[in-house]
Parts: sequence; C-alpha cells; structure tokens
Amino acid sequence: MTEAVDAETADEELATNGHPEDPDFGETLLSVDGLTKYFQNESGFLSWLKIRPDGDGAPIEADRDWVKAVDDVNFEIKKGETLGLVGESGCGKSTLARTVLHLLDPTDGEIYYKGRNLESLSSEELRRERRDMQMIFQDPQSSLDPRMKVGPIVEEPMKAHGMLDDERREDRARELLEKVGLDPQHYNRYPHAFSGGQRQRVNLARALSVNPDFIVCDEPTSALDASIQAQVLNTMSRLQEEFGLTYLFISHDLSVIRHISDRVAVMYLGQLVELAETEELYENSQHPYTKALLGSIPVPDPRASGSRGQLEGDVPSPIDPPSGCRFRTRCPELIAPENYDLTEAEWHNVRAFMRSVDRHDFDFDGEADLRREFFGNAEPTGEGGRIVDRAIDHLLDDEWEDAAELLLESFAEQSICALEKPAYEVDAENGDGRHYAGCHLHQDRDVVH
Amino acid sequence: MSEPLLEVEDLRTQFFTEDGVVRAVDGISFTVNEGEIVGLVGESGAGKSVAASSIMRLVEQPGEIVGGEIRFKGETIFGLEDVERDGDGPPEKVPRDDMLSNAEVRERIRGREIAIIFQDPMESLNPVFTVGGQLREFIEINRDLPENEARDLAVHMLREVGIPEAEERYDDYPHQFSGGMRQRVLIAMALACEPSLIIADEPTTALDVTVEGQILDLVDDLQGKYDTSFIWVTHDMGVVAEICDRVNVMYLGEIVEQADVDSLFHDTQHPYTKALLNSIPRPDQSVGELNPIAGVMPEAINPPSGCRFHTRCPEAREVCTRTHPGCREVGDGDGPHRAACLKHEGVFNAGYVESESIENKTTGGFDVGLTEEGEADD
Amino acid sequence: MATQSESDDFLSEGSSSAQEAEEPEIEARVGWRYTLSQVKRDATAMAGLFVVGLMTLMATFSFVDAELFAFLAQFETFASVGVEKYWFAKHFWVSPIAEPQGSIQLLPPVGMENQFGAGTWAHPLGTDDRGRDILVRLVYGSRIAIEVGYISTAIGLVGGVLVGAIAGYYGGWTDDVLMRAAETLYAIPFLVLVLAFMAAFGRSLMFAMIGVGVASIPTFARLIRSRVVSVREEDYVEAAEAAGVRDRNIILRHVIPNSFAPVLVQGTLQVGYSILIVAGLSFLGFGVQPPTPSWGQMLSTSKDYMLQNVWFSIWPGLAILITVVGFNVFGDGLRDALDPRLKN
Repeated sequence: MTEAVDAETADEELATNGHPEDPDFGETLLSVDGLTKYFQNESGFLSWLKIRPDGDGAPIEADRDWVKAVDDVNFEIKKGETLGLVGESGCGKSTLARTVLHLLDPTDGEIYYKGRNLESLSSEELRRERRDMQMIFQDPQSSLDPRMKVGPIVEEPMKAHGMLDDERREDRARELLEKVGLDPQHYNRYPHAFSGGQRQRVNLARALSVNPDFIVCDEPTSALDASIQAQVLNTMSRLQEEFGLTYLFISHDLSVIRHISDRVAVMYLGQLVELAETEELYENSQHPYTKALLGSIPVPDPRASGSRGQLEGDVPSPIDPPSGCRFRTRCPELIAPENYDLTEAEWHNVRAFMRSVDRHDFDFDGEADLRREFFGNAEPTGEGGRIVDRAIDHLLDDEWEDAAELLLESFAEQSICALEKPAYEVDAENGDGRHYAGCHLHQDRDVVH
Repeated sequence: MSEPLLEVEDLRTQFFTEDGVVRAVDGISFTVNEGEIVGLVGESGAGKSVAASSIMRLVEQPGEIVGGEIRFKGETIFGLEDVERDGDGPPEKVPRDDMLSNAEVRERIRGREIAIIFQDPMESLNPVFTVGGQLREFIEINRDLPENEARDLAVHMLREVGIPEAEERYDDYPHQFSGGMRQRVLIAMALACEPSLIIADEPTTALDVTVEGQILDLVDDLQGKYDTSFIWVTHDMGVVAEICDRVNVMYLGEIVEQADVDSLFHDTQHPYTKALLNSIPRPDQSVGELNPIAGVMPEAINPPSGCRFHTRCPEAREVCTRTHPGCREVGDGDGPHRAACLKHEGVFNAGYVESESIENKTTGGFDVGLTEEGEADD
Repeated sequence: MATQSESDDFLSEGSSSAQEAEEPEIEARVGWRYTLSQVKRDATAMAGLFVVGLMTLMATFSFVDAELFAFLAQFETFASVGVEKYWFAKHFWVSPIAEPQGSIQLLPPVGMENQFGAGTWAHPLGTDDRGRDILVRLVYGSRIAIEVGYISTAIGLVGGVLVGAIAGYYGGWTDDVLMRAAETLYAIPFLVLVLAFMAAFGRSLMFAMIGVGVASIPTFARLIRSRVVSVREEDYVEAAEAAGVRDRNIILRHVIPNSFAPVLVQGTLQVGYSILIVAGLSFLGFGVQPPTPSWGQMLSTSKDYMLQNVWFSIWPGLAILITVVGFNVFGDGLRDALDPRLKN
C-alpha cells in the first residue's frame, strides 16, 4: 500500500523507506516488550541530595525518587489496525506513546518496529526511521508553529528527510491539504486563521507528508467540539483506509476509543490492565477497573440506567505504586487473603471498614455504633475477627493511623493481589482474538508474559 | 406549579470589540424551578458560559448585558425600561428602579443566594492560602459567623463533600489536592452558604470519567439533601442525560430547543439537537460511521440570516435563510417542549412545506467562521 | 443513512468545491510587518522609533563621512583628488567666510580665539574650549555612541541567545554548566567586568565594545532560556522532533524564533544601556581617545569648564539622554506590541 498521493508524485522517493521486509497487513508492525519508563522526580542541580539533619545515618545522602510512569508494558500492533489505548489522566498513556516513538528513551524494555530493535539504532538512524512513524498531538493550538505558514509546516518533515525538491514538495503539500479536507489555497495561511478542527487536519497532513506506515495519535480529538470531533474521526478513518495506516490511538474518552479502535488496551497507573478486541472488551470486560471505567461514562440517553461513581478514592502516587496489582487499593473486588477464614459478606465488610479507616472519612459514636455501621450483617470471627477487634480498640483510643496500618498489613497486604503481579489470558466471548486481563480473579487461567 | 426560582427573559449580552459587536447571548428565555437541575448545553462559542455569568451580572468588559430581564425570587437582578428623552431621539434604556444595585448583588445575591462553580478549580482557589482558610473566610464573609464557628462549618462542609480526613486536610494547600478533590472543595464552598441556586459552569469537564462519576453522585446526593437548584452548563450530552431534569440547547447565542430531558433525547424537535446527538460516538454501542454536523459554527459577530443553523442544517429550506424562528411550543407530549425550527409548519406557518430545499453548500459552512476576516468577507 | 453521512462528511471537507479565484489576504499576526503595525498605534513608541531612526541615520552618515574618506585617502588616486575627513563639517556647518580656519573644526588645536563662542548661525550650539563647533562634534560623536550600542548589543545578543537556547533546549547537565557559567559572569558588577576586560586587553574602543557585549551575555542568556524552557514543551517542537527534524534546525527554526520577542525588547533597551556605559567609560578616560569626538569624552572635558560655559556640558548630556530614552521608549513600545497577553 505505497501508492503515493498521486501518480505524479508517486516516485521512488516516496515509495520505499529502505525496509527489506515490510510486514503484510495483519502481521506485527510494532511490538513492545517489557517497556518501562521512569522519570526522576526532582529537577535541579543538587536536588538528588537529601538533607536529613535528624536522621540516623549520614546527614546528607544521595537519594532519587523515581516516578514510575510506565512499568513493564507489553503489546503488539498489527499492520493496518488501530490499537486504542485508554486510561485516565496520569496513567502514563502519553508517556507510553512518546517512549514507543523513542522521543523519550525507555528506562528498560524493547521496542521492535518492523522487526528492528529501535534501541539498537544510532540517533541518526533513528531520525531517519521517524519518517515511517509519525505523531499527532492533542492540542491543535500548540502543535503548529504560530510563526510558520501551513504550507511550510506540512513540508517540514519532507525537508528533514530530503524528500523531493522544493517545487514538488509544495505540490505535494497542496495535495495533502486537499486530502485531509482543507482548501489547497490555504497553503499560505498562518495557523491562527484556522479553527481547531482545521488545525488538526493540518497536523494530519504534516504527519502524512512523509508517507508513514505508523501514526501515534495522542488524544487528537479531545480538544474539539463533538460535531467537529466526528468530522476529524471520519477523516482519519478514511485516510487509514486510503493509505494503509496503522494507528496507536490514545484517548481518555471510551466512546471515541470504541468507535475508532480494532483492539483496545486499558491502562492504569503505568501498566496495562486489560487488552482485547474492541467488542470483547466493551461487552465482556474482565478487569474490575475496566468495568468501573465503563460504568462511569455518562451515556447520552436519559433512559439508560447509569451506575456511575463506582470507584472510591484517588489514584495512588506513581512514585510508590502499590505492590502486585496496582489497582488493588481501590478495587471493589480485592480478593480475600487465604490465611483467614472469611465468608464473602464478612470480607466485604472488612474491606469497606479497612478503606474507610485508611481514608478517615467517617466519624463514630462509640463501639456499638461503629460495629453497627460496618459489621451490621456479618462480623468476622476467628483470627480475622481478632484483628478487627484490635483495630476498633485503636479507633476508640483515636489512633487512626495505627488502626489503618494494622488492617492494611493484616488484610490488604496478605491478599494475592498484593503479592503477585497478575497477568492472565482469558477466553474471548466475542471474536477470536486474545484477551489479556491483569487481574487475579482469573488465577485459574494461563499466565501470560 | 409555584413561582419559578429564577426567570430569565429575552436576555441579551454583547461584547463590544474592535472588530464589531459580538452578540454572545441573543435573546434567551428560560426558567429554573426550585430543586431542579436545568442544563444549558451547547458547543464552544454557543454563548452558554456568558449566559451563566450574565445571571450573576459577572460579565466583564468589553461585555455588557444590553437587554432582557432576570428575576430571582421576586427581585430584579437585571431589568431595563425605556425612558423618553427630551427632543426627538429614540427612547433610551435605563436600569429600572427595582433593579438591584451592584453592591446589593454583591452582598445579597452572589455567594449567598446564587453560587457559581467554575471548570478549573485551580483558578478559583488561591494557591498561596490553605484550602480550609479560604473556605472559612468565604463563610465568615457571607454568613457573618465568628471565626471559630466558621472553621467548624468549613470542616463540616469538607466532610460533607466527601473529603477524607477533612480535619487534617483543612490546612493543606490547593496543589496538594487532586483535581477531583479541588472540585469538591469548590462545591463545599458553593454549598456553604446554602444558596438556592448554584450555577455550575462545566464543573466536570476537566475531570476523568471515574472522578466525574463521583462528582455527579455527590451533586445528586447534596441536591436531595439541601434542595438546591442547579444550572448545569456543559457541552457533554452524556452528563446532561445523567443529571439534568430540563435542558436548554444553545446554538450561536440562542436557545434552539427547550424540553425535559427525556423528550429532548427521545422526541427531539430541532435538527441541531438531533445532529449533535448523532455526531457523538456511544460508549454503550458500536456505530459504523459517525454523522458529523457539516462545517463549523459561524462567529457570533456576524451570524447567518434567518435561522442561524441553516448553513449547517440538513433540513434547511429556502425559507430558513429568510425567516428567523423564535423558540415556540411545538410539543404534543405532557411537558412543555419548545423548539426554534420552521419545519414545525403548524406552529410557525412560514411556508416551510412549499419552500424549496436548499443545496447546503457546506463549503460556505466550512469557510464561514474560518477566520474572523474570512467571515467578514461573506 | 450511510450515504447521507458519507456525503455529509465529504461536503464538510469542503475541498473540491473551494474554488475561490483569489485567496483573500489574511492579516498575519506574526512577523515584523505586523509588529510594526502594532507599534504604529503607540505614539510614545513612535517617538522612540523616530529618535532611534534619526540617531542611526546620523551615525551612519557621519561614519561614512569620517571613516570612508579616511580609508580612501590611503590610496594615492583618491588622495590626489583631495578626499577629506569631516567633509560634511567643512562644507555645511562651518561657514568658510565667517570662519577661515573652519576646515579643521574637529581637530585640535585651533587656537583659542573662538573659545566658548556663543550660538551664531555658523555655530548654532556654540564652540568648545578649543573653539570647535559643538554641533558638529555631537553629530560625529553619535557615530561612536551608536556603533558601540549596536555592536556590543549584537555581541551580547548572539552569544546570549546561543548559550541560553542551547541550555534551555537540552536541559540537564548542558543547562547546569552553561547557566552556572553565565551566572558567574552575572555575579561580577558590570562596570568592573568591563574595566577588568579593558585592563587586560587594552584601552581601545574595540575592547570596550567587546567587554560590554560579553558582560551582557548573561542577561540575554537568562532571558531566552526561560522562554526556551517553555517553548520546548510546546507540541510543535515535539512534533518537529517526532517528524525527524534535526536538533539544529529545530532550535534555529522553531525554538529561537518563538522565544525571540523578549530578547528583541531587551536588545533595544540594551543598546541604550551600552551607550550609557561606554559614555561613562569615555568619561572616565577609557574608550575613545581624543581628538576623536565622543559624547562621553565631551562631557568629561566640559566638567572643567562648567562655570564658564554651562552649555558645553548640557549639549552632550542632552544627546546621551535623548538617545537612551529614545531606545528605552521604543523598547517598551516593542514589548507591548509583541506581548501576546495584551492582544485580544
């Protein structure tokens, strides 16, 4: 699928990119293996030195905090498909996108593009490789240089890769503007003369100018109004078909992702929690986080029964993420630790009690009130019950932190969810693709890498 | 039904800029009843935020409310009357005697009777003061409470909006709160004086879906508890469906459809609302292709003649380019249902049926509003 | 519905049917033309621009007159024709009839008979302690002031922009090393730095200019770095990077042009400041040596005759004042014109 924009410009310069084995449609174009990206939390000349005048050890020591933005992520993208990557703000999806393109150097892990390990390339080789992998940004306002006219903006990548001569570059830029739905006459306009949707089209034209195979789209329609968003999404689909493009489409909007993607990956706190074909993921989601996300979206239909606000609390800090499953601190289905003999109802109560104590979000009036509030229908017995009793004693002494620590250590930290990182493959009900779910509820399934 | 809490009639707000007069809000009328959540929905540039701040008389230079009437609980927040000048000049519009003065609006209405919540909580909170301190000060000023009582109330309100460890977090600074928590603080602040009406200007737009869900739940709960009315300004039809009782759809400074939420979604009477609903992808079902609305919204500085939507409307006919439809009752259902579309021939009698369908040159729609300059050329 | 939507989508693209014969001219909100149009709205800035223009013109003219002719005189062919320095002074300001010895008005000694002459048509601003025409010396003195202002600012600006842009764009260790070095320079008082520089390399005008230029590098470097750090985060810079544009081109084509506005303003202000500094140096006896006319040195000479003829001090002082204020006012106007926050 290397026909260029037009027969006229479809010359050898456009057609190949020096790859001996271009994958066919449906074959793996890009594969990401154990990708990890940490950022240093501090910035500054000597900020990694920690001054601890009253500490036990040396008064000054070297210590760096790492923000674990992306941690051990694996996935593949097949040529011609759209992989949707969805997650809430701060989950690391934008970092992942930039690391995949090597705009940020990964801390660990490998990225294979058309079978070549990007890590092994020199910076000049990587720069040349960029011709084949382009990116579209979220903010139509800031992604175009306000001091350049749109023509030169579209031509810039071609220039950087020495494609065509000046005259033919201009011809191609005009053709591309037309392709993405703009008036080629607008070649000499500055970006400020365009609306948000039109600027996003200029972005598309720029990305397409070097005839890439793979485009990473980082929230390309999030800044646009609903009706404009639909226009741009339709154009993107049309271009994908026409040029045989492969998209990695990142968004926080589950509706958009459902519409545009062939397969969807859900990300939480730097890790993938679920990955499956679109229909399968939306109709048969297997991870509690995915379920909560899907349940939270406001459906544009007042007759649909909304079940929103399913998650409690905030996302934990990526500097010190929870062990095992990162979602466990908010998971409504946290698995009971095996060392206590708790019924379902008892565990439900203990879990709620533990989290409320940890967040300190209630007041109570004596022990009886507390027990009625949290353990009205089922009170744990045995070892588990004794721990709850001790925690209540702490609370009665107004020692909230001790109570929380005791409960978390005895229950949350003992759960399989805290002990092992979950990675299972479950059976797909829709379609015949693989369905990855990072949740210990499926511990009877095959463990995957 | 009892007297509505807030009545807005033919409100007009204009911005006097170098390039001309921008008619941001151009003659909108709606009411808010007690204990009701009324949606004000539209795309960016529809004038919904300007309408919201007009109600509080918070329009900033070069904007000005130039006409219409706003009544709240029997008081006139805004109202003009014609005064004949000596000589032959046209009558001049001056504020009516019963219109509240600026000081009265500031002291009696803002904060105490009508509160407002903005989209970006970071901008509404001063980063150099503690969250609790700002909340306490707000309560002190608006409820005339001594400091210690105001503090207790502030902690109570923080707990009420679901801030964990409210007592401890009282002394935290805004940047130590997450986006959702900051929005909760603003809701606490808005509710602290137990106002009758809260204007929420895109309060969940900057938040993630799960947090948005939490906030919508919270608003639902608190609304039941305090019986506060809301004007909910948003662009998100999903949020509208979730939370609103009645909805006003705005396009280019005008309300084009006005109905209760169920009939708006299931018995849509205006082509714009219909197109808007068709253009959004659904989270709960797979759709083959989206049906975008052609073109972009024209600039309010020089709106199209006749029906303002005719440049993008799939159902536009020749008459639509000439006749400007008001927002009239068109429904046959139970509740009132108004729409501003000539296709309701029985109501408007503008000759829509005989009129020829226009070739909707969407290039026009596309180019109009391309730039202020480009648009002025049309 | 599918066909409907398809046609809708197609129509919304508006590509094929957009056959406007002429693309209407759209006002660009970038570039010097637009900036100038903004400056034109500001009367104070226009006054500044007038002073800047006038002084530059005057300096260019007297530079050509003095230097070019002196240069040409080296060659026998021209010398035989009789080219001379201060041709303008001889022919226009000094009336040969009233002043037979006027041809050497700028050169000492002229004799004392015309010392402190009052304003006449021949000498509108009077004459100095050596009987030389003050106006003529002011005009020729502008050459030094403007030359020094422009060249030293150019040195500081180019050096500062490169250092600051590289530091800001790459960050990390590059940033630390470059900016710490610049701050070290910044820590030394300006005048001391320039004096030390001249003491080390020589007391000529050239070293005065280079010294002032180098000493102003940190100002420019810090200024542009703070802008670059934010521009670097703009998506268009990342977009260029993602497109495979070389770093050098990203810095030169995107980063610097978009960070340049405050530097341009600072540059304009710095010209005024440099003029002041070099005038001060001349006053102290560094820099231009007599008999070459310079404002600072005129001021310096005049201080001994303050009681006899106060005008002798006022004129060069006024010249410095007007020029410096002109540059400052123009710089402020430029700042307003370039500041996006003030635009609607």
